[in-house]
Amino acid sequence: MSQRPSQSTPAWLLDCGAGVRLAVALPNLLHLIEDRTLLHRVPQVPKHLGQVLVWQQRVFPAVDLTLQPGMQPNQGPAPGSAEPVYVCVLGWCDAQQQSDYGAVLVRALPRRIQIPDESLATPTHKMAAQWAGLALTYFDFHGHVIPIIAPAALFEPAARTERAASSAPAQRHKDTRSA
Amino acid sequence: MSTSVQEFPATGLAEAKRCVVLGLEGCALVLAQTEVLALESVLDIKRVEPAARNLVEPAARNSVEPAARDGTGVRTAHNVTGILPVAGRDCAVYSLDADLNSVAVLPPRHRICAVLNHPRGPYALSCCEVRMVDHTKLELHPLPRAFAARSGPLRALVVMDGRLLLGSTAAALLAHLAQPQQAEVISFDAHARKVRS
Repeated sequence: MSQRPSQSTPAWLLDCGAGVRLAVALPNLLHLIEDRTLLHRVPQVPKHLGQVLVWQQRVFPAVDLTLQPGMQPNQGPAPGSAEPVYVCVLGWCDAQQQSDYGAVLVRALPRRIQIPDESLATPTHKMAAQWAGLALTYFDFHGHVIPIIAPAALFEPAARTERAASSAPAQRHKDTRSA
Repeated sequence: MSTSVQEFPATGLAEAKRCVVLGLEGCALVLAQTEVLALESVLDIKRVEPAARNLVEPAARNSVEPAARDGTGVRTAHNVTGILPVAGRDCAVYSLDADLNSVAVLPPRHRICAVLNHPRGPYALSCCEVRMVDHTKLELHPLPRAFAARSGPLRALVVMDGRLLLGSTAAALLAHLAQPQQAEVISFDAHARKVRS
């Protein structure tokens, strides 16, 4: 009897500050920018999306997840104020198979990690609610449950709403920790 | 100051050959030149008493409330900074802060009023400076889809010499100005719950 070898998936671990961490698939992280002067403030939009990145003759929305409603960061410096800030440019294909882009503000250099299949984890109800519509799945990283997110859902409210609506029953079924 | 106002059909930013950059404190708006009827000094603004703001409505407000007029025949609103006589008629003056929220008092650095065209009557927006720019110097970008749910008066993002300007229209600005300032903020999660229920 031969045992199936353990599989793992490479990913980038992003530290958004204030205890908010997430992972994205390797191909989703396109570029890392240190020049904060490329970030420009935009008023009258949701607070966590209050900046855009002007780069390569394009304008990309930049999300600060520590400021997202419902995220309730609970560690480290005050949300939105932790330094330094790096800008991770993410890329993905939208529903029409068109390339789309957005940026995530992080407070530390992205860390490349391997996610073994056996490290997949179940979030608490609170965490599942926080990441509803964003997380594809979760994994255990040194005792912390980290979401692997779908980049499109960070920047497209419709995509996130649709994902949240479709995954809610499944999430309730999976989540047994806080029952 | 000005004696006559010539009205041109309003065009969007994308079709405009020339644009006007309205510098506020901390941000700048850009509109098609055809939407700007006149420029006036803030020295010509007539103050509106706070009590009067509660009695009257702005000219272009889409409201089911009965509109009332003050003694000068000008409709005003809670967000109005003052009244400006332009070409024989009075129009409401609005002022915005760096977050594009209406302020009731004219900001000290605002020196000029841009009188903007609107089908229901002109209105004015106070600003620090006004610049005319050729359309070729502007890079227009559509609003990211992330802003689809809430973007206030923004209709485009515009880059000029590496600086971000906020593209708008006179109609979008007035719709924003006439709104109460405490907008309801609904998170994606709350929105998702509403959709599911």
